[in-house]
Amino acid sequence: MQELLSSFVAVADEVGRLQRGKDAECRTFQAFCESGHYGGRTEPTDTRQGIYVVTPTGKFLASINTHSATKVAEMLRSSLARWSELPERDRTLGEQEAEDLQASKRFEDRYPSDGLVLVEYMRDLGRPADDKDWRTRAWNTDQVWFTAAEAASLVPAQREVGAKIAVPARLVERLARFHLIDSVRGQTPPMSREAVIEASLQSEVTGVSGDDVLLQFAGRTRTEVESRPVENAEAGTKGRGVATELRGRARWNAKTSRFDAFELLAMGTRWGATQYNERQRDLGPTAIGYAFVLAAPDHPRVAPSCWWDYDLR
Amino acid sequence: MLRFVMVMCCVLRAISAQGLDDAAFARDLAAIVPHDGELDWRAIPWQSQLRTALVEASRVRKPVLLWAMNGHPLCQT
Repeated sequence: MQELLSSFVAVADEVGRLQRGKDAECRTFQAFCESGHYGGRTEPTDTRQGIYVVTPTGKFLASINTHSATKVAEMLRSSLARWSELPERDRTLGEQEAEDLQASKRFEDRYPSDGLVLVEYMRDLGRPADDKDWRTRAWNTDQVWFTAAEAASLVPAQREVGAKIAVPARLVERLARFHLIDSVRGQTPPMSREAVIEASLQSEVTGVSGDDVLLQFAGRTRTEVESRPVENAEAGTKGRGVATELRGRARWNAKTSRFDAFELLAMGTRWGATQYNERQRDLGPTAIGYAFVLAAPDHPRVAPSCWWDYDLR
Repeated sequence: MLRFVMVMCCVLRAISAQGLDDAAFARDLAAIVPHDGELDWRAIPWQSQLRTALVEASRVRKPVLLWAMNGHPLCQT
């Protein structure tokens, strides 16, 4: 498979924006996805998710939506056969086409290179894994973005041991509403402002050494909302929520105004179900854990899953 | 990525924040972050934006393999 893949430029992307956006990148996708496996489909959803092979100009070659590696490999080979028959003009973009694509607007253009980017991981805790049930082994991930000014606001102005601040409420609410939600088994909608019952995080200086300021974090979150009944859910599901205790540690470099180490844990309980989070028969409450770690330099620069509600300042 | 996380864990253990049980913290962190076998799909050099992949494919004269999902496959699906 790896050898086969070397014949392609591989890219992963979010399909919702590609389906509905107006820019050149989205228009390119919209032009070829209707030739694929879900072309024209409206029920049960109008999603065009799947695996596609196209030319750089967006000419459709093949597509499939399957978990079968064998079927994907077959599709890739058939697409290469079609590719080999194409004239050279179909294999390259014109200068203007390339410029138009690059000018497409994405939230990733606001990636806070000079701020703080955390990779989030979440999974169920304290439950046995069953090899026959993917849901028992599920985990999910996301990214949390803070601008440089927001990152600096996590650090007490007074650089001495024992100095404490409450992290700005809107930043803790960002965690609670968009990241401390139950997406372990699949995406779930963000929480509204009204759903935030509690969101507090304290930052305390625990050490100072030269330019290094050592911090620890402690806090709590609780979000809770009445929700619509979910299809196939067990009786009694009227709401969903997550309650966590936060604890963490970090190192701030006062010279560079950057964090060079950061770990935050949020552990607690989740309950309820949403349309796509596969909790219809697992309403809880059950234990859930979230870990936030500093993004490695080569980590993919992908927008947070709830980017449309993000309020970067 | 996992190596980076492990290095950062060592760095932060060295910080030894007061009031934080380092052993418990490290144990809880390890219970949540994915381990080696759960990140095999990252061996494929996925690009993360269709626009840049199309331009790159044009440059290297290759077709584009796009994995498009509800929720970004490299982030949250």
